Amino acid sequence: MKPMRIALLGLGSVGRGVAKVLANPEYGFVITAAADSKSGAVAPLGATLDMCEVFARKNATGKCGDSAWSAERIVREAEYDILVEVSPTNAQTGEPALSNIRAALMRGKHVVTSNKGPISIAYPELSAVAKEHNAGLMFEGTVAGAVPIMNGLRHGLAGNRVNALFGVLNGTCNYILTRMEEEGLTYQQALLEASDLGYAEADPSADVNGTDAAIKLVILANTMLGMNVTLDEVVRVGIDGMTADALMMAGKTGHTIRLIASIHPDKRQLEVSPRLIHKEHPLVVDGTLNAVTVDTELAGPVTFIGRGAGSVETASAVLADLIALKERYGDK
Amino acid sequence: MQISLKLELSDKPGQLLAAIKPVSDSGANIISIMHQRDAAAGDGTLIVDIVVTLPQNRLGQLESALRSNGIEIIRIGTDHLTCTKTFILIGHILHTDLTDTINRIDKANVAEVTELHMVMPGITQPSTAKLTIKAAGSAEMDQACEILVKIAEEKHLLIIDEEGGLA
Repeated sequence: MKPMRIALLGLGSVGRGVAKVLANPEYGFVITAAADSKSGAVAPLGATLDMCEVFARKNATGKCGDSAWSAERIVREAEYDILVEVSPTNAQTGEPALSNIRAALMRGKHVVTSNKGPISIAYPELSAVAKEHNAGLMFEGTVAGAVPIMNGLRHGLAGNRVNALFGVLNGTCNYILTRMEEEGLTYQQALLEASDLGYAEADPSADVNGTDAAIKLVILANTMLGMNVTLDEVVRVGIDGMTADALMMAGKTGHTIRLIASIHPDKRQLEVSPRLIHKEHPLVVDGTLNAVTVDTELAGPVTFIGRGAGSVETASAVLADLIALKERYGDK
Repeated sequence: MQISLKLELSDKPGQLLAAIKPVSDSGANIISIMHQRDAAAGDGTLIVDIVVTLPQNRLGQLESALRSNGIEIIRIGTDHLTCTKTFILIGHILHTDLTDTINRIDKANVAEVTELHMVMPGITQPSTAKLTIKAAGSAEMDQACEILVKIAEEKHLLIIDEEGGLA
């Protein structure tokens, strides 16, 4: 089977993970173009990019390639079969990723993304464009990193009506609450620890105020549950006011507190808030792990647990999407 | 509705039946009967505790049937509030008029705050409280929750609900 050609947008942590994974020729993919926010590199026709060289250049000069090859130009002009869009999320506009994904789909190119912005903002439109141009649009990596929640719902639980969905979708918050519970740390101490270990962003506000989990909830609602909701409709309460006393009190009756994101499709209710939950509940996971429980019509409750972030972990979700596309569209 | 009856009987044969028959005839579902001879007060009487479930409108009928059988009713306890939910609140709970918070949730026989446990680490720091609400049923609990959400918004309190959420 002929390898499928990939244009990789975004050379940060996830981009590096994807390049590392795809370096294994057994998967059957080659990277023919790559870009970061400043520049791009395109292999001559019929050749493939040496990604080690690309990253070495980026480390040395701050640019991965030639400024003449912007990400936008690669999307429109370069030769590739699948656009892999793993640039940082812009939650407000989804740009520039949204325009790049749209342009690729309009060229009939398949798209795999881990970028939450475009999918949470414009899924109905992008999905229509993809359908019109007979292109695949996959986004397993946008929610819960390595956890195959999309594939699990779409294939494993196909046909099941989802009565409710509950998720622990933000690893930073889960780490903070776990540490407050285990060690009696204050919120500030636990946040500081999360920052020191690289689990929290320089500006952690979108994580701790529930926005990040709410965006993932919108993606699940719109892509998996046939809803059409926006971020504004999600009731959001963060963990930034949490006290160690609250976790201690919860513990006295065998409970703990976790930031739970939930969807009740029938009531069109989406909410992210800290909630009391029994310690034995499968959603109660430690540290930066993610978990999703779907309460389904036929299968009952099913819980998925795994790593919600990380370079190679997110690349695992991207790879799964790529392999699914290859099975469906490869060698045509 | 769950009803507990504390009855006083004369300590002679046939009296226990005289107490139980009206209960059974009333259509009540008997949950437990506690009858301890040791509890006899020494004055020829005996105490029996009976817990039943019975529609509230048939309680009067049961009372008169017991009395006409010569049974003394010492106490009738009713527990309307069968639905329980626990919340944790964080914020300036005491200084935002705790009495007002509880008064607004409390509605006789409908919903009540039955337990409150509070930790106040310092005058400027937010307090944390565990609050238990009991309500007559799930609709009444939903109403109580709505009131609590409104109060929390007004008083800038963080509510931590149970797993299912405020839905």
